[in-house]
Amino acid sequence: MFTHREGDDIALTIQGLGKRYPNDVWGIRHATAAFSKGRTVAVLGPNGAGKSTLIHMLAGAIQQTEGAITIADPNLRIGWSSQRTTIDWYLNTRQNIELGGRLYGLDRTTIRNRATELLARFHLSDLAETDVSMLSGGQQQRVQVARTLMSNPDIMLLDEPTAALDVESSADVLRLIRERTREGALALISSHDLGLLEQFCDDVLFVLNQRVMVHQSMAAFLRSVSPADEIVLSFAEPISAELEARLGHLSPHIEGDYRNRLRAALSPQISLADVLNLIDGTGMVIEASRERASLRDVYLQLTAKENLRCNH
Amino acid sequence: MQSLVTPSAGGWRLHGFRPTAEIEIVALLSEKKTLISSLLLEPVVQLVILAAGLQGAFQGAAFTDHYITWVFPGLVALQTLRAFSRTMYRTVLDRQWGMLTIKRLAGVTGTGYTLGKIVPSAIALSLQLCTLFLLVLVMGARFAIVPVIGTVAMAIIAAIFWSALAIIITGFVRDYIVRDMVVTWVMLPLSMAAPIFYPIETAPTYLQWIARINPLAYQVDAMRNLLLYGQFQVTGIVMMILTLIVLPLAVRSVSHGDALSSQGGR
Repeated sequence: MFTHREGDDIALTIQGLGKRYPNDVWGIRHATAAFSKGRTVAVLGPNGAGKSTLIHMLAGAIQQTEGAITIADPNLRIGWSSQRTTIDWYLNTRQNIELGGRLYGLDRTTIRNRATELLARFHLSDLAETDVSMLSGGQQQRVQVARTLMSNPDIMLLDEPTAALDVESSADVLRLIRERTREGALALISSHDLGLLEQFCDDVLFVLNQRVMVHQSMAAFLRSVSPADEIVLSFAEPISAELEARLGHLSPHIEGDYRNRLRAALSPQISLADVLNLIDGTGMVIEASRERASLRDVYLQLTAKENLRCNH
Repeated sequence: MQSLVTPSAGGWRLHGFRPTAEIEIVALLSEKKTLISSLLLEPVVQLVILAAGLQGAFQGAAFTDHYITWVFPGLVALQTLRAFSRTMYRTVLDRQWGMLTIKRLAGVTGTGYTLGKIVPSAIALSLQLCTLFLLVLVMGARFAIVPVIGTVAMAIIAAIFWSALAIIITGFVRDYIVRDMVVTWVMLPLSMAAPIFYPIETAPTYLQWIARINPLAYQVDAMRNLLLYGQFQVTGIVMMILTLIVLPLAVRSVSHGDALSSQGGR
């Protein structure tokens, strides 16, 4: 597990963080990690693992029972978007978004211009003057994320920011967050949308059974279960003994009713072209692909492995 | 590295007062129907219907020769109670829906938050008092200008007291059903057990005892003595001391502990 790389500019550190609720149940315990500026961190874990408790503590919504939260600079702006709708029901859409700028003392012109830009980015321009209670759940969630981005936060704590959003809106929101992290902000995003997290996040914080199990880069996390990629080749005819022998060092697995599909683990040093060169006329390849374990695959395997360990 | 224990920890600094007040004023203006009702309807009902109706019953009473003039300071004090319900609604909303967390993250201090919450109540109260004073003048009451200014100042202090008390109570309110219950159970008995429409001396003994622990009773008495007799009595000092006690407790209530209550709901 890494907490940060040498030379990284740390924005936020947690040390032995824990929260015990009044019913004596721990929401999370012994959470330790350091988060660098410019990174988009996927906070992963099943329901009840402790993700929301962690984000709530970082936002100051609830007080930790033990441990410490440290920010590198007290002037860093922190934006929080809760899993639950966090909206001022007395204000309209524009006023709710502008609230994010007002609280940070931005001048009126900046607030107005930035709110107009965010309304457009979040496809809310036509609903600017609408009472927020008239918006759909997804629209309310967009208002909430837009308000979080209004002040250009240096640290973004986003709990399920895409839960009520459609596919396009989810990608838009994560793209916008990613833009901000590329400018040097830190984003912690809790979500079950693993496909999007894999696409947009740099690091993974994996929380399971109220513990931080893993904190590492997305690439390392994806290789943590199966370090090699997988190559899948489909041939026009059954694979010959000669071809099988040529690719023997890859320990291929032949499959398919006609023994015409080959699957093999591939280390990062060997390219798909290298394998195709090895075949060199001993078979006609009709389809070739290099696959790696997806975030979903790794997540499911790690969760199952840990649950199995706990049950024993 | 700075420890992030309580984002809002800012002692008595006023940081965040202005945005909080601005947001509360925007919210106040968004409730046009409620605003019109509280500015016009309630003072009209209380003064033109209830007080005017009771005037006949107190004809020839020993404590006053003009009931409308006598009851008026009590009605002024009664308006201040609206600050309690208004602040209660807004602060419970902030706590339940995470808005308090967002404000604390933005560096809004407990003092800035508490005083910012009071501003719209003070504005609404000033407008209510304008309506009341205009009505009572039309109904024949006459007051000297200095006691009027003093009474308005006292009313604003009373509104600060009720707002601060509401903020403290919201720390214990977990949902909006309890919130509504608290508002009903606080406002109705307090307003009925204070000497607004009747002199406390003529009330049954148990009511006189209740009045001794009813802050509204002290506020009514202080405003009545100032407006009718130009006197600043000990009840005025009690009223100010009570305000000075609850204000720091309200600041502490929003500065410390969990900013998010357990349930949602408006």
